[in-house]
Amino acid sequence: MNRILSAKSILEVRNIKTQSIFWGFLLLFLTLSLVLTVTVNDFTTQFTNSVAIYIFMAISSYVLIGKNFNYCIHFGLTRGEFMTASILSRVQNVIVMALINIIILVSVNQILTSFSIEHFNIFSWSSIFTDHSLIVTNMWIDFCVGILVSSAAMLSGALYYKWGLVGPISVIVVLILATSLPFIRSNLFDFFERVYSEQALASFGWLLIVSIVLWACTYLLLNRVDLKRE
Amino acid sequence: MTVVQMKNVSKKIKNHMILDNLNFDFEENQIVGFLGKNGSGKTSLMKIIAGEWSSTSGQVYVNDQKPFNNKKVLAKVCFIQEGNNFPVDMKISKLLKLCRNFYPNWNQEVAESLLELFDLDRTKKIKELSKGMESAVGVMVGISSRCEITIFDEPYIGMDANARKKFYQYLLNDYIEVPRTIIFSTHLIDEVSSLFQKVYVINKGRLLLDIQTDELKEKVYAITGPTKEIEEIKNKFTILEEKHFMGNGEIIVFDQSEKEHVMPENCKRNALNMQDIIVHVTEKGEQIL
Repeated sequence: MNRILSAKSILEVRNIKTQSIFWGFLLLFLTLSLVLTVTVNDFTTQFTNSVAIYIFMAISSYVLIGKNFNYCIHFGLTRGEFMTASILSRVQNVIVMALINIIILVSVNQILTSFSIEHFNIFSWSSIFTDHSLIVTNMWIDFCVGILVSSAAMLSGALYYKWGLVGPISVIVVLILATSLPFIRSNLFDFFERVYSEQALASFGWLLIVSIVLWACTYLLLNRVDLKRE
Repeated sequence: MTVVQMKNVSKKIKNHMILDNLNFDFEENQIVGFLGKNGSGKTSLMKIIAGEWSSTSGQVYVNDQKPFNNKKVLAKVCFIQEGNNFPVDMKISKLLKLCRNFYPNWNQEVAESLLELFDLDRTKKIKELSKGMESAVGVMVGISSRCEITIFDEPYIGMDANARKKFYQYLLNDYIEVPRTIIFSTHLIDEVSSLFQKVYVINKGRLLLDIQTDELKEKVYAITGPTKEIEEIKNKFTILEEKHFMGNGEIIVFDQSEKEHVMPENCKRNALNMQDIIVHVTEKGEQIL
């Protein structure tokens, strides 16, 4: 376990710094938008934290493989230990990001109510899934989507590590082609419609199962790969 | 006990044969040198022993187990290459903490004394160090790990002569205190050759020689004398190089016979330094095979 935790700390060498920069910029933009909306009072602003978090998680998870796989294996870790450390690191990151996001959501909503600001909205999943509480809805959906995005980005990182750009680009092309097929598209649409109409938050659990499959694919891909020559 | 065993090992990358049917093994607790020209396959061979690469065919055994992705083997191997050993954003102090968890035989006292010896500031990040300092960190980790198998692949890049001398001396003293298997690849052969008990000369992915260092020095030497007399004896040896000028000549020979040859009256046998031996052996390697 010590080895895995040590590997996790290698993966997180730059984590605090990059997260601080990310949240710094996000809060700066949030404040600027809020101030601008209040002072101009001429338009309505819709601010979305969650999408920014998903993009950040995708980029950091993609980079994680390329930047750290060599170092970790070089330290004598097995591919399995590397994957375990990576998954632990990603899960911890997603939880922290979802927590920070809910704190911001609650705080901003508090400010908006206290000062009766009407032209500013901050997106919350609870505005779609109205049957559930703000905290549970946002924490759960941010967690599920964050994990899915992370695992997909890790698989892309592994594909890039093994085959270069050909790997991730091929997957993107296959995904685009697959979603353009009427059969798949209509099924996906039906699924999301059902989740919305039934307010079925638990359905997001499927994303976690997909993530586990994606992580398994990443492991299988990295399991036999030689370290890159540098 | 045999620590490394290679049976018909080959490695192919994109239709290019990097290692070609290697067969050798060596006993534990020796300092061995992997020598050869650039691109000869030394680093590939070390990566396979360290479990970073798999072989395309053949069997590799380290402590009787396959090293690739094998936790039992990987925990006993420390591989220090010429660069990119550690994350650049990591502080030396953090690296020291991590090494304790990765290397079961890690010796903090040795690490501390090497930090002092190389004047390394533990508060600095790897990216803030000069090339020589970064190499010194690699050397520090390699020695302090006290792994059963420590592999140094030209670990001294950027280190000045003084620092390199300190490294060789410290490595030897530590090896005497705690014998272990040390595999060393270097182009500065004369600086390190006195440490080697055995050398493996590799050329174009093939093993040319697998020989004790002293024996190699006995087998490869120069003979100088009159051209006429040299011509009389030269068919007794494998000739690695031949030069003649104004009736006198010099031949560099690889002497594969068991008994010592009687030299003609005016011919003289001259010893060569290790660097010259390896240069000549790798140049005419095909003749030795």
